[in-house]
Amino acid sequence: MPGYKQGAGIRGRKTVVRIAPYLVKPYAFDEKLSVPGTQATQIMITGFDPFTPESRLRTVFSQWGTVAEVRNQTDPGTGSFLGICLINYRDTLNSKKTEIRATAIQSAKNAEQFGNGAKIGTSIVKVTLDKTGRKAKKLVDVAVKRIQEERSKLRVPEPHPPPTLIPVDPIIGVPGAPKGPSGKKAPEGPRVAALPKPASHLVVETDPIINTIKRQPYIFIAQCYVPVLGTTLPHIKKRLKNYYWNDIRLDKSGYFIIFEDSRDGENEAGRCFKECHMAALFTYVMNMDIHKEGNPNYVRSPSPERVRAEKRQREEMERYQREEEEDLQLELKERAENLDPVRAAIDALREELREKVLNDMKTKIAAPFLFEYLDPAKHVEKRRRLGIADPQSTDNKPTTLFARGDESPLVGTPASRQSGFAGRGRKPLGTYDANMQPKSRRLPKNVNAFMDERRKQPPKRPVVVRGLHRQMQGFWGDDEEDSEDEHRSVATRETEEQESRPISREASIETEIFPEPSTRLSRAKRRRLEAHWGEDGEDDSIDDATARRLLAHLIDKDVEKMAERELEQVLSVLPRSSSLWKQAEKVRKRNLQFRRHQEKYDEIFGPVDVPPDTTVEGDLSADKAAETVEGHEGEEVVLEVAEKVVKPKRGRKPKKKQVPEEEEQILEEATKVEDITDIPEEIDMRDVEDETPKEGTPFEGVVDYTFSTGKEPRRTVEDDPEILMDIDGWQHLIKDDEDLNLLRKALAVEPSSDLGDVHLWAMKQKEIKSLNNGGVTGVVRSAAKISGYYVPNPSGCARTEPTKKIRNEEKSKYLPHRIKVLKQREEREAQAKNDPAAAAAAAKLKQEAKLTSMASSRQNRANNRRLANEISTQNLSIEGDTMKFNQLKKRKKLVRFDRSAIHNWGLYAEENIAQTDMIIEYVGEKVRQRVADLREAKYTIQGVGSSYLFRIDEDTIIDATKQGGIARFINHSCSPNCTAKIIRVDGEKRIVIYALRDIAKNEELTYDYKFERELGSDDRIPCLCGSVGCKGFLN
Amino acid sequence: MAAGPQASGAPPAQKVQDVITTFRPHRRFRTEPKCNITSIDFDDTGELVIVARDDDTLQLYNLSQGKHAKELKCQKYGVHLAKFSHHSQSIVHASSRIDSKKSDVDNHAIRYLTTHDNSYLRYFRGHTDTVTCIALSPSSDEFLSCSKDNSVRLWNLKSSNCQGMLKLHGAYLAAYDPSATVIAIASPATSSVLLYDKNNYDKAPFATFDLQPFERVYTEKSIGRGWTKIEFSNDGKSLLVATNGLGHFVLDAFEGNLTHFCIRRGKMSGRRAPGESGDDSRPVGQGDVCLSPDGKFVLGGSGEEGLQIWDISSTISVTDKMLMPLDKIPGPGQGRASVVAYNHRFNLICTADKDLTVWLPDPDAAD
Repeated sequence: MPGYKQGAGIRGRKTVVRIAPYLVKPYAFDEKLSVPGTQATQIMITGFDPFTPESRLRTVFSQWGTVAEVRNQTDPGTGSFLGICLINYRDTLNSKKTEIRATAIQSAKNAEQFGNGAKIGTSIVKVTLDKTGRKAKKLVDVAVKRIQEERSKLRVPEPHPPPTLIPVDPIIGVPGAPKGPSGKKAPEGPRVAALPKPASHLVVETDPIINTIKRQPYIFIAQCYVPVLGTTLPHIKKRLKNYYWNDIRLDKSGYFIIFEDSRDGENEAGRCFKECHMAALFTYVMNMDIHKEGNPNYVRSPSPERVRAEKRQREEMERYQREEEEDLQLELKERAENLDPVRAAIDALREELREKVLNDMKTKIAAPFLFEYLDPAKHVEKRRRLGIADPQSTDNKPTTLFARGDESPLVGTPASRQSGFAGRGRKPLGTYDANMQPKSRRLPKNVNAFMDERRKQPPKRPVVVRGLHRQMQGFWGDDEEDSEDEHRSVATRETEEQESRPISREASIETEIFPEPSTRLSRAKRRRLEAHWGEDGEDDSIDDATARRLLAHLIDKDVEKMAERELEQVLSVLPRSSSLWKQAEKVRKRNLQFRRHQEKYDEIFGPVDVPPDTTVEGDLSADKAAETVEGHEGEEVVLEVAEKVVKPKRGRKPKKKQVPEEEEQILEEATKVEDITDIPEEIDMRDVEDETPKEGTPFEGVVDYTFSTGKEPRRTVEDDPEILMDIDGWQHLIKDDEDLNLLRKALAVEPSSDLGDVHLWAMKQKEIKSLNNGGVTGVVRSAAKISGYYVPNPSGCARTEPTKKIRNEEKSKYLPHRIKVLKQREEREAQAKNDPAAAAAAAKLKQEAKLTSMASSRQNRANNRRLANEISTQNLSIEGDTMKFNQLKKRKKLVRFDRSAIHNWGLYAEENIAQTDMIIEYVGEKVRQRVADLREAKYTIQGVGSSYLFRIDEDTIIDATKQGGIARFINHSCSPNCTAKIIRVDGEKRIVIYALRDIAKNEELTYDYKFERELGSDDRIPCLCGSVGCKGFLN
Repeated sequence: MAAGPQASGAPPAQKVQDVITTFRPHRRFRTEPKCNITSIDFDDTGELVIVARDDDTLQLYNLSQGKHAKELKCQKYGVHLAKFSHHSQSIVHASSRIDSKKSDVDNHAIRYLTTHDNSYLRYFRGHTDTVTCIALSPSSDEFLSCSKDNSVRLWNLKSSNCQGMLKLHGAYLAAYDPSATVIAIASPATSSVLLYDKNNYDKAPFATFDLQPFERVYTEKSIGRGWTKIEFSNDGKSLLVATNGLGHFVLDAFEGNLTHFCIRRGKMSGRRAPGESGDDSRPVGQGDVCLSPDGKFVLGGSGEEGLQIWDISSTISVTDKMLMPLDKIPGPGQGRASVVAYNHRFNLICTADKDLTVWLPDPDAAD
C-alpha cells in the first residue's frame, strides 16, 4: 500500500513506529510518590585490602550514615575475601529517635560522593552506588572466574598448588574494577604465612590419579617399591627421559607414568616396561605395572543422547519433588491458617476414643467369644468326626515338664489370687491394684521340674503372662464382679489351690488327668480352716491397726469384690468384743451366704465340662482374635457373635439380692439356656453373615410344629400379606434358618450396605417407626403417613416443578404444631358438643379470670401523665419541641421476643403487667393504603412469611416489616391477653398495645388481629393460638 | 523521524529492545480513597496522561516531571474511556453514570471536555447503551465508538451528530490502523474481526478474520468472551486482540493469520471485558496489554504483581504459535497491572489497577 505509513498525516504522532523512544529524565526522589527501592541505599566499595576487617569498613563508612549491614564478598569456593564490599545504609534517626536526620538514600549518596577516593589503610577505595548489589555481583563473578582460571593454570605445571597461592586480590585485571594501589600491591604478610609446606610435598596429589586416567596407556609403580616422595619425581623423570611419556604423576598409591593416548603411546609404554621393569632407581627397584589400555576401571562417558535423556529424567524427578514439596508447604500453610485448636483437640480425642473402644471390643467382647467358641468341649463332635485327639491328652505331653518357668501351670490358677495378690510393695490385705503388677517381666528361669514347688525360693512369682483370659473372666462376671477370686470361671473354680497340689509338677499332672471329685462346699470349708493364704506367710502378721483400717473398707465392700478369706483374716486379728468385729462378722455372714448361693448356681447350670486347660487355650485364641479382628466388619461380626453368646450366660449371675427369689426361675431358665448353647455355631455364623438391611436382626418368631389334620399338607405358617415389610415385618416373616437362607438367596443380587452395628441400626429403625406411629411398636399393617401430605407432583418429580406457594391449608396438613393444635381444637369442639354445659363453664371461668387491678394501673398512668406534663412544660419554655417527650416510651413495659408456638416469633412479657397497662407501641413506617397494597404484594413475592402491616384508619397503615419496633412480633390469639388501641398522641394516631388482663412474666403477649373474615377464601390463615375459644382461622 | 541523541536539544533515546526488560516501577500515584482506574491515555506529546477512575474523576499527570497535574471531577456523568484528542487540552470520554430520569441517549452520550476549564464542549448523543470503546483517528478529528447497543458510530469532533453508523452484532471493540485508512472492528460474540476501509465504511468489510478456530485451540473455555482490546501495531503489521483470559492473540494484520498466542502466565485479569454483562462484579477494563512503539513487543499484566513481556518480532516455527513471556518484570510491591499503556514517545509505561504506576527503564537493572 503506497504511503501507508504516511497516511496519518502531520498529526499522526501517536502511531508512528518509534524504534528508540526518548528517555524520560529520571524523576527526583519523592517520599510520597516514589516506589520504594528505586533509590539506592547500598554502596559498593572496591579497591581496599581484602584483609581489612569488616569492623574497620564499618567505622569508616559510618561517618556518612547509619550502616545497616556490611557484606564483605567472599569467594563461594574458598571463602576467601575478594576485596569487594557492599554496605547498606539505613535511615539515621536523631538522638530522640523521633525524626529522620538523614535518610538511607541520602547516606548512600553522601558515601558515594565523599567516600570515593578515601583511604583505608594504605589503599584508596572506590565507592559506587549499587542499588541491588548487581554491580557487586558482576565483579564477584569476574573475580571468582579469574581465580579459578589461575588456579587451574597453577595446577597444570604443579598438580597440587597450595590453595593459599591463589591471589586473593581479585582487582587485578577485573575490568571496571578500580586499579588502586591496593589492587596492585597484594598484601605480603598473609601470603608468606600461607606457604607452610615445601613445594616438593605438593607434588604428591591428594586425589587418586587413577580416576583421572581415562584411555591413556600408563605404567604404575606402586609405592611399596619406590616410596612416594616429591623429590623422587624429578629423578624418575630423568631416569625415563628416553621414553616419550606425557606426564609422570604421583599420589599416595604410587607413580603413574602416563603415555600418549595412541598406538605410539602404547608401543612406547611397552618399550618402557620392557626396558625398565625391575630396573634400579637408586636403591629401589622399579617394579612396573603396565596398563596399555588405560584405566581398566574407566567407563566410557555415556553418549550425549543418553546424558540428555538422563538429565531430562532427573529434571523431571526434581520437578516432581519440588512440586510435591510445594504442595506440602501449601498444605501446611493452609493447615496452619485454618487450625482450629478445638477441632484439633476433638480429632485427637476422637482418635483416642476410637482406639480405646476398639481395644475394649477386642479384649472384652471378641476374646471371650472366641474363647468360648474355641472351647474344646464344644467341638467334641467335630473332633470325633475328624479323628482329632482330645486336647487334654495332647496338652499333657511331658514336654511341658521342661517348659519355661514363668509359664502358668496347665491346670492352674492362672487367675488365682496368687497372681493378683502377690504384687510386691503391696500392703498386706490391701486392696489389689492391677496397676501394681510388675511391669518388667523377668527372664524365664530354668525350672527343676522335680523340685518341691513350695520350696522354691523365692516363692513362685505370680503368673506374669496375664493374658486376655482375665478380661474374659471379667466379662463372665459381667458387671458386678471385679475381685480376683471371683473372677474365676467355673472351670477354674473347680481347680485346685496351690496348697492342695501335689508336691511336684509331675504329680500335678496326674491330678489333672484325674481331677479329684471335690465339691465346692467342702472346699469352702477347707478354705476357712486354712491358716494362711496368699503366697507367703508374711500376711499373717497383720497388726491390729491395719486390720481396723482395712475392715472399714471391707465391710463396705461388695461381697463379690472381696477375696474369700479377706474378711476372716481380718476378723481373726480383731478382738471379739469390739463393735467392729460384730460389724465385720455380719458382713462375713452375708458373704458366706452369697458364696453358698453361688455354689448352688454352679450346680444348677452344671459346671460346663471344660477341660482344665481351656483357660490357656482360650487365652491364645483370644489373643489371636484380638489380632485378627480388625476393621469395621470385623467388629460387627465379633460384636454380634459375642452378644449371642453373652445372652445365655447372663442368667448365671443374678444379683445377690434377688438370689432367693430367682433361684427357682433360674432353674427353669437353665434348661433353656442349655438348649441355646447347644447350637451356638449355626446361629453365630448366620448372624455374622447378616449384612443386608432387611436381615438385620434374626428371627424371633415361634413356630408351632404340629401334625396336620387335613388331607393336604397344611402350612405351618400363614404369611400375612398385609404386613408392612419393615424390620418388624421381616422379623415376623422369617421364622427359621430356612426362611433366612431363602431371603438371603433372594437378596443376593442386591448390594449389601454398610449399616455399622446391625443391632443398633435395627433398634433405631424401630424407634423411628414407633415414634412415627405414635408409640406403637411391632408389626404394623399400614405405613405411618400423614394423609393429604404426600401429594404426587403432576410431573412426577418435585424438582421438575416450578416454585409455588404452599398454601396454609396444605401446610396445616403436615406441620406438627398445626396438627397438634388442630387436634386439640377438634377435641374441644367434640367435647363441647357432647357437654355444652362444661364448655359454658369453661368460658365463664375465662371471663372471671379478668381480675380487676384497675387501681394500680390507673395510678401509674396518672403519675406518668403528671411527669410528662411537667417535662413538656419545661421543654416548651426552653427549646420548644426539639426535645419532644414521648410519653408512650416512658410507659413501655419490658418485653422480649422469642420463638413462639403460635407463629415464628412472639413477644413475651419480661415483667408482670397489670391489666389495662400500656405495654408497647406498634412502631413502623406510616404508609398510605396504596403503598401498603404494593408492599404487601412485594413481600409476598419476596417470601416474607409474616404480615406486619397494621391499619390505623382507612388510608393509613403502619408497616413494620422493614422498619419497625418489636411490637410487630406480637401474635394473634382468639382469646388474647392484650388489645391494640389506636390513640391520639399530640394529634397523631398511634397504635398502642394494652394489657387486657394481668399478664405474668414470660407469658406470650397476644392480641386479636381482627382480620376481616374471608369465609369464602380458598386460603385462610389458620389460627394456632391453641386457646379455648379459638375460631380456627385468622381471617 | 529518527530521533537520536545527536539531534540537538532532543532528550536521549534508547531502543525499546534494549530497555524493555529493565523497566522498573518508579512512581506510584496512590488513589485515596481506593477506587479503580478504568482507562489510561497519553496525549500526542506523550507528556501527559489522563486516567479515568470509577470514582467519577479524571486525573491528569505530567509525565515529564512525574507529578500529578490536575483533577477533573465529572460526578454528573461519570467517566470511562477518556481519550486525548489531538489537542492536549481536550478529551473525549464516555459516560458511566446512569440517571434514570434521563433518556438512554443522554445517559450514554460521549462527551468532549476541555481540561483547561473542565467544561464540556460537545455531547455526542446517539448510543443507547453503554459505550464499550472509543478510538480516535491518528490523523484527523474523527473517532469511532462502539456500544452495547450493537452499533459502531463514526463521529467527528466538529459535529455532535454521528457521521456514520454500522449496525454490527456484538461489535464492542474498534481500532484505527496507523495510517488511519483502515478500521478494525472486533465482535467477540461472533469471534470475528472486520476490517473496513475508512472511506468506504458503508461497504462490506474488505476483510474478515475469523478467530474462532484459534479460540478453539487456545481459549476453548471462553470462546466469544473476554476480549478486552484490539490494537494495531505501529508498523501496521500486527493486530493484537487482547483477552482477559488465558492469553492474547497476535494476528497478521494483512492476512489474518495467527502469528503468536501470547500466553498469560499467572492469574486472569481482574477486569471485566467491555460489553460484558454488568452482574460481573469486576470493574470494567480496557485491556491489560499494549504494544510497544516499535511493534516488537507485547506488554501485559499477569493478574499478579509485575509485567510480562512477549517478543512478537521473533517468528515461531512451532506450529502451535504459543509464545511464552520473554521476561517478567517485578512489580511495585502491591497491585497488579490491570490497565497497561506504553507511551508512544518515551520509554515509559503506565500501569494501573487502583494506583497509577509509572515505570521507567532502570539503568541499574540493565545487564
